Amino acid sequence: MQSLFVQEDSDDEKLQEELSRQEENIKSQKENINSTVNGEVEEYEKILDDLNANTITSNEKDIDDEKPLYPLIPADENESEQNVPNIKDIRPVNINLTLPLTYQQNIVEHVLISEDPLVIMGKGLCMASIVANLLFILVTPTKIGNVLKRSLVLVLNASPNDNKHIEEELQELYWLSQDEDFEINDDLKENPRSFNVVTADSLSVDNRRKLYLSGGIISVTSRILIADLLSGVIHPNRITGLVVLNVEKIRHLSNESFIVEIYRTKNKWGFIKAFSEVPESFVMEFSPLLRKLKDLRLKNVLLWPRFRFEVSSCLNPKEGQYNKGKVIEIKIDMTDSMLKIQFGLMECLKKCIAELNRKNPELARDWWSIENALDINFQKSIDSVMIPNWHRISFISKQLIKDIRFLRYLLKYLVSADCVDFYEEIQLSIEANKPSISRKYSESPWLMADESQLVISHSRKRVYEDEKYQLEELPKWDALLNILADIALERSMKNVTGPTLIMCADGSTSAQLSTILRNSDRKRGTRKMLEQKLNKYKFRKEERHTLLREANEKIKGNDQQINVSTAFAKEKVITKRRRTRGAAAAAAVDKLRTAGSGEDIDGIIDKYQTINNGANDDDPIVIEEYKIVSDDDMVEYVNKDIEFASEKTDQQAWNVLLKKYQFVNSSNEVIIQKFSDIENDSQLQEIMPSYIIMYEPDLTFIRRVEVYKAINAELSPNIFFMYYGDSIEEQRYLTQIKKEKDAFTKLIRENAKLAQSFEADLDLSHLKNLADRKLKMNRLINRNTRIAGGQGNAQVFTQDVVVVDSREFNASLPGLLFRYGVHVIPCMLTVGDYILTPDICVERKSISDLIGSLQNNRLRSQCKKMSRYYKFPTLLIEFDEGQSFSLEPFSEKRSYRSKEMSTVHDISSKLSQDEIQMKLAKLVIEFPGLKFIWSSSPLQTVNIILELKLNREQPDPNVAISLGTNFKGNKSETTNSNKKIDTEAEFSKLLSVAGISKIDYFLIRKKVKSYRRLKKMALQELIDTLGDETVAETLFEYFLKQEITETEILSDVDN
Amino acid sequence: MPCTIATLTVANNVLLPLRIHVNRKQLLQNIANSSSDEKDPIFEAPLLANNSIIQLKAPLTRIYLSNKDLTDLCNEIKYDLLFIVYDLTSKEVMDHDLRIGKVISFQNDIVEKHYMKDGEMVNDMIKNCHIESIVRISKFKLKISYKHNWELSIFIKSLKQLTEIRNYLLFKNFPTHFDEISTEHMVNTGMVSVKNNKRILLTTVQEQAPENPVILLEGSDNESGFIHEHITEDTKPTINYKYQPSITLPECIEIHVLKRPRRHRA
Repeated sequence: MQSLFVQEDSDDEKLQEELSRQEENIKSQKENINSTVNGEVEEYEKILDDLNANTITSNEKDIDDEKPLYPLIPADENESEQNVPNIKDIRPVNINLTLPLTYQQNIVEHVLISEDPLVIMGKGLCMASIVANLLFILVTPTKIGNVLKRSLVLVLNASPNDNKHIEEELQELYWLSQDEDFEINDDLKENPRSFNVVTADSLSVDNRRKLYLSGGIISVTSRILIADLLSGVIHPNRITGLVVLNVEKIRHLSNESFIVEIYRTKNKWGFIKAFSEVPESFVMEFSPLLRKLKDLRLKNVLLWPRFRFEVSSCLNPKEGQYNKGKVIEIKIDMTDSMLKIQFGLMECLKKCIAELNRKNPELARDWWSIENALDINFQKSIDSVMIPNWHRISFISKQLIKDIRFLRYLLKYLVSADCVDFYEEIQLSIEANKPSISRKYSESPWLMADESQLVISHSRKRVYEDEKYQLEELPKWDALLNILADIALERSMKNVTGPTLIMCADGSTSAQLSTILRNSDRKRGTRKMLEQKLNKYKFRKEERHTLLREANEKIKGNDQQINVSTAFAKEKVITKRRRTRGAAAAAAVDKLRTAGSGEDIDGIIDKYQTINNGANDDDPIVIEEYKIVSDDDMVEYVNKDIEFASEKTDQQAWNVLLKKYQFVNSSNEVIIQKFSDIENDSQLQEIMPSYIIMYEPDLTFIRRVEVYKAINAELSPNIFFMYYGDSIEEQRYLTQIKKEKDAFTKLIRENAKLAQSFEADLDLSHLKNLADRKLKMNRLINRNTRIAGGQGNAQVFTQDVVVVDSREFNASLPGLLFRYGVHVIPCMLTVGDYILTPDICVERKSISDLIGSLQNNRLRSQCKKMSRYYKFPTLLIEFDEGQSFSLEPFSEKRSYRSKEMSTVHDISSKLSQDEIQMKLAKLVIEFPGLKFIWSSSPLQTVNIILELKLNREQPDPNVAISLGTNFKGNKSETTNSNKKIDTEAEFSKLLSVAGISKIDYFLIRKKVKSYRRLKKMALQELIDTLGDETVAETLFEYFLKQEITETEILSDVDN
Repeated sequence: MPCTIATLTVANNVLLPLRIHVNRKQLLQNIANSSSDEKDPIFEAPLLANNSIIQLKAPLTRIYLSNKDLTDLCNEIKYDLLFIVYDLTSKEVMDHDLRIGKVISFQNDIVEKHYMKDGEMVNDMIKNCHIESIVRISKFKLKISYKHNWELSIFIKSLKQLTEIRNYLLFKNFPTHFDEISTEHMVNTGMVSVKNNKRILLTTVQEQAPENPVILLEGSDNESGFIHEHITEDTKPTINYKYQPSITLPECIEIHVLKRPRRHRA
């Protein structure tokens, strides 16, 4: 029988050979260095000297080059006092690793000696621990004279979980270290290998500067680091090295690559080490490996797949140990109905994919076929092609994409949810597809396929058949209870200390299992649970119906009032026409509802109450619901202050409490967790389970278990591995393994073909070239000093400067600007995002941003601020590179992206697109001075900005910061704009005058620039300029009235 | 070398997990004849841009506490934990000016001020606490030093979370002490934080006494030489396992073991 619990070995010997050959190459490099260890200090000295010489010359060179320019990166003031380590001080440093397996130690060694490597590992091979150990080694302080000089290693792109894990691991390493250099001191501040996390809210600029100077390991958010690098809080030359985690998540032109670029231009001696656990992401596009390497300035690739010899020899069971900690695979057959549903869903999916390919022949890819439909990236692949073309594909295609998503979800749901939940899901989808007034064509195409009948009738059959409630239990439940009984028996005979661990895929499954186990000791416990669920479902349905009825009644009530409106009449005509067309669809849905038997299923279930009434008198069964705490709630909670509300407890209370206090023996625990909860490898070791039950297969977790088994060879746990035979669950798992293996195979091949590249040390980097070229161009233009005595030259000679709001560093634009030789100054701006010249202020909006801030009126206030302080307030609407340069896809994007399968007709999408345009137009009317820039990609934006900046003055960051914060203080500077505000305010009063519409207002503004002039105009003059008698008359009357009131006030004052 | 997790029941169906680390450095220091096993390095390499030669060594064997040790430890710090969970975040104790870095002595600052009235102990139980001092190490973090048979540093990872745990437990144990407003407050806010994704079910064994089968033997009565035990010896008791789900509180208390008491020969 084929074993699912893989002990992977690559059958391809060539692959192994290739891997070891690549390893040899790197090793030969290492030998060069390693030879120095064997006493040949001189050579090492030479290397060091070379290094120092290089840094010094490059520094000198830099200074020469930059003198006329604004330096792109602020120069380090203390550069000269840089201490150079003396070779005589060379000393050995002992480090105890915490990695128990030899392959882990191997990885550390290899990463340590290869220059700027990208490490790609198989999933679940303990990357976090390896990274922590490496960090500990890399941050070793340098000894100069008798003083220890601390190193500074920055960790980029780490998730909060990574940080937590690294912190714990480092503490352990610190406890293990036997360095005599450092006094044993619990105070972490004295620890030269301290670990700190810098996120947005934790530290001020000053504290950050101190922290950087104190050294150690710092995990920092890229957005903050980039601002710090650009504003000189930290100089690249002071960073010993960078460690980039989760490389697969880094996109092209991201902040991380920007940081690495800045770092490398100034720092040639430090290291960069990058890690990833997702090999699949490196084979998706055209030679992505090379691109990633270039992006992050990496030089080598280290590949550590599970099938690599060092790993497999560690993790595969050794001979003679097969009986220890055995793996028991439990293949469970699905019930007949489940198999039929699965078959039906697969067929529907097949048809949907075929239809999608047929409808969009020019976009479809060969890869989109039923064989790959189970792939995790299937949806992503469709999305990546379809979203840029969203405005070009037909409504049916959109529906098909939605259906493919839904069907894939149903396939998954079939094996995880119980029969009632699954039935409810199907029923809901049918319900949603009933034709109604607002949706005419919203028929989901998959419901039209014949096989959908099979799905619907069998999902019904699982709940109800032959006038009896079937309430089919999932076959895995019974198997799980049997396993637990076995375990309990074994525990009673042997002394087993660890707990039992049950692993499943998601929270709802864990809640489900918990309920099953709780009710396991009762007779027919699961059956009762299902019965109760059914009751709940009916209750919910009833509620929905009443709600719907009430809503309908309300609409009816409104009907008569609105009837007057002509717009509504138009709508009605459409309804009539459509209704005749929709009749077929309505009939189809009716057919679906009565699928199979021809009876209304829901109707029968309604009768259930009467049957069940007698049976429900036992104590109620508690069903645990799985609730997701939304992020919003969490944020609210975190922001709350602590209240130490109630008073301390008294002795009486303590007596009660003491009785309840008890140590729990871990062998009594049955722990249910999600795969995603055990994110790092040490968590299994914390729990130390003696029995592990995998309720569903999961590649990463299997690897974790393998590692855990290898570490705890003596107390190896028993593993139960459950899966449905011949199911998509099994298939999905197998494709997962295959994909990873294929990815590694491809990577090994690509790596073999990669040209080895060397860079000359003083590389004339393109950004400097650009800046240089611009400078020369300017000189050429301004050669003629006779004009104005060459006064303008001083200005022209300076480099381009753009002041950027420090919150804007999440976007790729600042990085791109930097690459094009623009000096980017990060500031906290109150007004605008980018200040290009003293006059031009830009507010950048991505599309989703735009829609959001149009909705909540933020954009309006932002524009108001901009036009108050700048002559040319500008709104930059920037699209992503992969997006289609059109508003259409975004107006419906929210509904497309969301998990809900709500179907939006294309007419409604057009409406909201109109809405966006309408709001923008309103904005233009309100702020006539507002300029718009539409840009299809950040790259285009850079071009536009450079063009705008040509031959204009550079902005002053100090002014830019002060604007908007305390406008009373610098009144003298802004009198000009203040005057403008006055006129603005006067003009806007006109809007409130009855009889003057916004269009009239716009006309007035267009024709007459000064309010005072407008006021002084005679009636005839007004009529002539405006060309509208009534408007002119109202305006004239308004001014007259105003004058009278003003004189009255004045006379009052005089009296 | 990961930590161990000890689980405690603190109320009906409520579990409090403790993360227990072994501070190897301190532990070895506290054992007088610590023979730090010198191993040969497994790998050597120079660090570039540094003048150190790294000598990597294979890890030492993992140290973790046995189940007996854990039980022992948890029983010893019983009162201290009660103090931490129930009284540390109360209004009175938190009233202290606990600036970051300031050390508070448990005996002088807390017991004498809050648990003594006219020279008498208000709460006798507090005598059993062996906490020495409390330091605030960051805005929400506390470090508590403990010294008795065991020597520990107890870290509170988040005061905020501890407060919520306390509120929740007080509510759970003494629901009548709360007025409506604070109950509502608890339900609205407390539940969000008092949440752990880990579901733990406790196994309880219910042994059902086997029904003695009455076997009638032919041609025999009570006075005959047959003894009942002979027959019942082979029957097994039926064992029922019950899995009781419980609420797991977040892991917010971390214990670093600095010294382990000497083993007593039983």
